[in-house]
Amino acid sequence: MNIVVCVKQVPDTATERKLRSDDNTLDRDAADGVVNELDEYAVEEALKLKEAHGGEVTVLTMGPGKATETIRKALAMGADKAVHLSDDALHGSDALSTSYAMAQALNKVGFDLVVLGSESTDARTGVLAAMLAERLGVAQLTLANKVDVDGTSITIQRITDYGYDRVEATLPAVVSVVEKINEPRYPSFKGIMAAKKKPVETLAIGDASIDPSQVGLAAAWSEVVDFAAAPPRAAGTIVKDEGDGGAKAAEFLASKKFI
Amino acid sequence: MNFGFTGDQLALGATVRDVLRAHCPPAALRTERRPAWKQLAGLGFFGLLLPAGSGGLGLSLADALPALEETGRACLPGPVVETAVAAAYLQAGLPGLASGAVCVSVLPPGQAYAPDADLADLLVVARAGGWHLVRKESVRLAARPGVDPCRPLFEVGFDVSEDLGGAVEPALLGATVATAAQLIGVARELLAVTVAYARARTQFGVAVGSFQAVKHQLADVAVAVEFAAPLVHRAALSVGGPLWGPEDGPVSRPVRGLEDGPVSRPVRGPAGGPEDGPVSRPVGEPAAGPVSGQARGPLPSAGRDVSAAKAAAGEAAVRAARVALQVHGAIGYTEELDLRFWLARAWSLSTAYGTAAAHRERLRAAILNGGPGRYP
Repeated sequence: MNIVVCVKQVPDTATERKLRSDDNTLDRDAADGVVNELDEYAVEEALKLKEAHGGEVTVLTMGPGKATETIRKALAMGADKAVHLSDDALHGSDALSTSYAMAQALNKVGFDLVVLGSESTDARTGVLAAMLAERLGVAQLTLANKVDVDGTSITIQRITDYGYDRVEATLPAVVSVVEKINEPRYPSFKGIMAAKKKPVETLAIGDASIDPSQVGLAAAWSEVVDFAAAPPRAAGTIVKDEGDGGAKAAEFLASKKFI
Repeated sequence: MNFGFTGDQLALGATVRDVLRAHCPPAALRTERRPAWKQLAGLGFFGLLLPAGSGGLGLSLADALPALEETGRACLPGPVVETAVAAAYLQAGLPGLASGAVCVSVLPPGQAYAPDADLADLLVVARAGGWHLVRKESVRLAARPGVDPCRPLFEVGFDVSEDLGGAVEPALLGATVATAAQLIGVARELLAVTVAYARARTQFGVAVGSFQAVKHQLADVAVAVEFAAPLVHRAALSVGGPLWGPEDGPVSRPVRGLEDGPVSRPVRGPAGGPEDGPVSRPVGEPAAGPVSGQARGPLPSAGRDVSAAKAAAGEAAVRAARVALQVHGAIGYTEELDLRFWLARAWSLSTAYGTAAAHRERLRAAILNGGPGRYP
């Protein structure tokens, strides 16, 4: 089975994330890049499927040059090879154009199953899996907390507010996973040492037959017009209890229409 | 020439850091004797320096430095240096070493008690001018008071032992460098925690870190750590990795240094002309960079470089501990604050494998070529 895992490098959630003042896009140089956390679960699930059913795991990422760190990590965890879609023309792409570019790259790479995290910690749109499936014309299995593959049929448990749905499809398919699905492994030392020997193919937009007019900031359907830092939280109201604390609390709640 | 660590070396360190963050949190120091050892063993931590034939990765000491530093940063309990480093030089063919199933403690010369001997399956003991390998079954341990709650000390007695001969010097040098690397990690963590505290703790309406009396002390610690770390890196390059014979057994490549008396038989630097002892490399040949999987013996300057590293790292860590305690104030003394584990580790490791004073004495003797005495 040819499994492709889509991973994304995101700014470390532990650091302060910034937007660039020149074009209102994410400032990727302002913070350390880390693997999007949910993507680690996707890599783990792909590796588990490979261990159970055989095949090959390819890592696909779209991002600037420094996203190679993220590729390394996924290869160290045990993926077999990687494809890095990297081109200045892709800068500023929104979800729609990202899905177009990724779909073109996936068509070039070839796949039986595409696995990705259900959302990224920076953009948090959570729509890429659905868009990819639509563009690729394959089944869409999102928000999986369990994946079973049997021959060419694939079954997932899709988490919902009321429990889960069982969703079945035939490969090829796109699966997005949630964090409950597994416990991502640490890269072993042997894996780290082996990672640099694994092949990494870098694609520019021309290599993946991506139409430059459909990607990048100019082609984005959504536009960030302006941004401002969130205002600091206002101080709360402190009621000192002088025998009338209960009444004052009730008054406050009534003023906010809670009671 | 690039003196920085390679991506692989840093990745090994980052992985150890991630694992220890998850599996060796400060709370574990209070409840577990050997937290995170299982997870580290699973990654291959204890096989870093072992040959591939023994299930290891065959790396050099320099390759493992960032990973070792992380064990110090996390205050990881247990005989880490002895099992992961010293044992690789001494008993590389020992089954169970790479998998972390075998635990080793070392009682070096000049030290009264063996740390973490209660966990050890094998003890390496310096006694009466010789080196002994003692198995768990034939050892008698008596607990002795020590400063570090996570690094208990034991007096060691035994009747039956195997003679280790002269193959121990590189192991001792390696363990000393690894301990220095841990001290750098301890010092960095102490500094980070203390800086965070100085930012958070307010007095007279401002953070205490804004006072020069506080921030200058912290800056002094930062300088001490940054100046000590390169000495540790240098020492690791000089010591190299373990050497393996045809059967993956360790090969004796004696180097003069820690083994010898401090003044009577000094270590010669590269400039001191050809060594009169058996040395694996021609004098003056430049040190090789950290090349993965390429084992070689210690350079002639190893003893001197190791002493410089251990003295500087120990002093930086002790300074970090002192400033940490001072800046924290009374809360720094308390049982409840996790700081005490790192304070104790700085104190205990700074005396392990030779105090700063002892290493300075060796350094002095090496530089002066065994010349004039202490007060010329």
